Amino acid sequence: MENILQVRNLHTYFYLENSVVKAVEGVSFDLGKGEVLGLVGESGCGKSVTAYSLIKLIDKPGRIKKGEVIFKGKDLLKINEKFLPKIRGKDISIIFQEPHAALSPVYTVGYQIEETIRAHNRNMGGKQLKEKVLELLVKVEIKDPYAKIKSYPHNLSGGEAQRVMIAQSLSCQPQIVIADEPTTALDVTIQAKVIGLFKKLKEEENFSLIFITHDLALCAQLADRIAVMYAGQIVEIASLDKIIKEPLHPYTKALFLSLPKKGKEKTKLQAIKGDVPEADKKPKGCFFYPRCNLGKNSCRENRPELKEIEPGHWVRCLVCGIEGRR
Amino acid sequence: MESSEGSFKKGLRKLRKHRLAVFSFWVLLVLYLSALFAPVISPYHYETEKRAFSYAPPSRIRIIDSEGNLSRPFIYKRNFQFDQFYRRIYQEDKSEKFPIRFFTRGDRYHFLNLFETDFHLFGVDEPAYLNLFGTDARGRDLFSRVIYGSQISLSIGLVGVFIAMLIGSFVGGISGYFGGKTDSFLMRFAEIIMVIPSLYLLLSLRSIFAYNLTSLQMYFVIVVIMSFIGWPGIARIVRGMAISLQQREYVLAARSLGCGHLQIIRKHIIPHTFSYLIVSASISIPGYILGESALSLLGLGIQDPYASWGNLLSDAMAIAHIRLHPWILIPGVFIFITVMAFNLFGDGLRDAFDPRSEFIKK
Amino acid sequence: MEKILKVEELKKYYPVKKGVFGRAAEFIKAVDGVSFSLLRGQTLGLVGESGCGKSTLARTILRLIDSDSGKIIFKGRDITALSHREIKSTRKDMQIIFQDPFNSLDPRFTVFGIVSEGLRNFSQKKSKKEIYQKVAKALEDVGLPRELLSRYPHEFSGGQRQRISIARALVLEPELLVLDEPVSSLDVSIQAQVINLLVDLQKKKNLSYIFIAHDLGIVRHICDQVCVMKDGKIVESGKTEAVFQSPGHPYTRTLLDSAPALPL
Repeated sequence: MENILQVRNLHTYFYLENSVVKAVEGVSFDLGKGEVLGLVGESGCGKSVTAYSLIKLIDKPGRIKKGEVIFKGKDLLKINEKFLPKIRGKDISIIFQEPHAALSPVYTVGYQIEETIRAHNRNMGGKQLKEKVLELLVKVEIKDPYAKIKSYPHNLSGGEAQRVMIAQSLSCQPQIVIADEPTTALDVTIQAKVIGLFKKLKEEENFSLIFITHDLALCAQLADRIAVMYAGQIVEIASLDKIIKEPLHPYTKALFLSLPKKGKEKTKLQAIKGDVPEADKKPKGCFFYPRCNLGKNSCRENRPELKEIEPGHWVRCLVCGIEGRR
Repeated sequence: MESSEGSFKKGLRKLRKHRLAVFSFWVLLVLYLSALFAPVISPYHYETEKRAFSYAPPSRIRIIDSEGNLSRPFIYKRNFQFDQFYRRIYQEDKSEKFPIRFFTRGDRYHFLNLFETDFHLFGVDEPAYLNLFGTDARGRDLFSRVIYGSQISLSIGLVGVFIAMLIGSFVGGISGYFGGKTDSFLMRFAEIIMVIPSLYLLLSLRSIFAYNLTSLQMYFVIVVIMSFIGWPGIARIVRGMAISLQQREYVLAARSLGCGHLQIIRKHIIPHTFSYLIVSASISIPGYILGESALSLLGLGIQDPYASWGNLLSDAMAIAHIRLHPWILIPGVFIFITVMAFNLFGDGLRDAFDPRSEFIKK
Repeated sequence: MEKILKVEELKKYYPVKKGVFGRAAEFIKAVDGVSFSLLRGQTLGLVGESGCGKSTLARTILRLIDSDSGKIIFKGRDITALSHREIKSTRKDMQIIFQDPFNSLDPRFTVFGIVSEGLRNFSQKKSKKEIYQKVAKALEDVGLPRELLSRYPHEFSGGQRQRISIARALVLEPELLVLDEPVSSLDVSIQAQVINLLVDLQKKKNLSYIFIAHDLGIVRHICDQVCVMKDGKIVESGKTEAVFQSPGHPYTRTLLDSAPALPL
């Protein structure tokens, strides 16, 4: 598969008054054309910061310290700032968690979508624009699209508003869509529908999708490949099948084991001990070492690198390579 | 949300960077310390009058005597003559030097009601009369009276604000916590007080109380009146905060733990408004100082012979006096400095602690 | 087994639109005729989507909100009829854990202050030492060392805070615990810890739980009974396994189908 985006050794730090929060520490991955990459991790693991770093949407006190984001042969982190707005929204678009917060309350839905299109296609006529907006709203399967064009975001339900956000993000035929927890604010039944919509759109539009979520099961509905993040690093990256059936990293394994299972009701869940390390108090060696039940002494001192253990299956662990499969 | 401690330290650090606020803080500290030690700092008692020195201009402090020699600071004794309009013209009698003595003895006074003493920071020997700011119509030293007056003018702000905050946060807390009819009733009442122009309200409230009160009674009447005018503003803002705080789950949790309503307001609502209250106090103290001045200026507040900045200024009501004896405006300068210092300090506090940011974050 | 709680035809309406004379013209039926019962030592799951009225129901049961009609029979006594003064003494026996541990602990109190608050309300005669012992015991029951008593909530992670709020409820030795989405704001790797703690405590202290959640996997794991709520009404209820295996109501089916599951 052809790669559309290559991320190499990305570091994003936040410089606070008396500490440096290393939100992202050496994230590398490839995104294939038309591929859905699930970025899974707990809150504060750096998954959103990673996504925003890709298009340099990091505000002070945050700073992208080093790394490369190669898109169409160019490093997005090095190109002139003034070209970035042309890439954001056109080539790479983003869908946020809270649709009501991301849409402006004072403009109609139609106007906001038009605005995005106009920003990137200056010579499109008014009538053409209207048709395009309608087409987009039909595409995201919103009910009664004629009426919805003229309505304001507060008149929409959460699910509808998220559909509008999706329509807006697709308005310029992006090559990459970044969806940051797009269904977390929605109810399960609505969530299922939005996931269905993503599946359909992926087939029709052929964009690549980076799907950020904390919910492994949800990610499994959609993703081709899954990258599991922990404390600012990718700890394991592999195809969906591999991650679910043969996870290698102790963290990924433990996550699966901690979920409630059918037929084992009222039994003790296999919880992961301890707490997620605070972003400015990470352990010296492997970040997962204090909570790991496979950890060896060497893990305490040495930080593991992301290694390709079998083709397409990368793991950041000193132990599981030796120990092999479970 | 930050902890109370963590954000307090952070705020303090921010405040230190606010230069004007730090400067204002030191100005206020000097003013309040001098109010506390007024009897020591002022060379004379506020009641000491020397009729022979009516409207004497500020004394000239010299360090070079008539022979051209450098000497320690001294003043000359002054005598007056009448001019053709029967006005006093003061002239220095250069025959004898009266050096300014430090840590000297003078009028007797009770210090903070603890002990009696006649110790003064500085003074001159009789019959010379040291008047840094000149004298008033009855020949009383204006500097001493300004310093004594600061005791009343500066403390009325603090006491008044304190009482207004007690009432305001209590009423606001109840209003916001209970909502509904209680809220409408209390807030309409507060608004009624707020819509009456404050000077009229001040005067009409003053008229409720008898005219001839002792100075202590007068002091409390003024404080009560001022806080009565001041609480509604505080109550309205505390109410707004209480409405938002009342929806926090820890308030519900407290109820399920068997806390009574008043207990919740006292322990879980009002403490969260403290940072706002402190900022707002420092910004509203000038209003109290000005209010006291206004009452005393109109002769309805602190009465002669007691001094407050307001009643000292009442001497300056006639233009003719100001033209002839401009130094009687000096108490006004003190009011100006204090009001400015409080405002600037309050601005700094607000920027540093920004109590609203706590609400934006949530 | 003894019925610890029985709710009959409970209703709570909120007025939304005001008519000309300030009279309510329309209502949101947050809780609209709900009935169920809970046996001692068991867990009842309340499942539904946001806005279905499950949190309002929980707060009404505890009488943190007054109901409009219906009965709440707790340990054989209808508590809807109790005056505000009388309700205070039953509060001790029923406690609530909230969803967001960042919002449910007063940031100005130390852990000791937070956990001991209820104790001080209910037993004024207890000595300081006794209160301290009880608080420390409650903290240890939820797996936190007593050294943390003088810390402030912001020094703790989400999971630890949730443990503190559990300790705050446990210190009063309640019989019924209402858990309002107790793990949904916690990290995935922490959820299992808290669920295990809750299950342990239930066994140890014979607690009865009302467990509100939208995560069906967890509900299935810990609940004996489950009620599915929609628009203020219970549309289906029964033994957990029965409901999950063969859902009767179409809404229950939609809910079960929508929940993402791992293709294991």
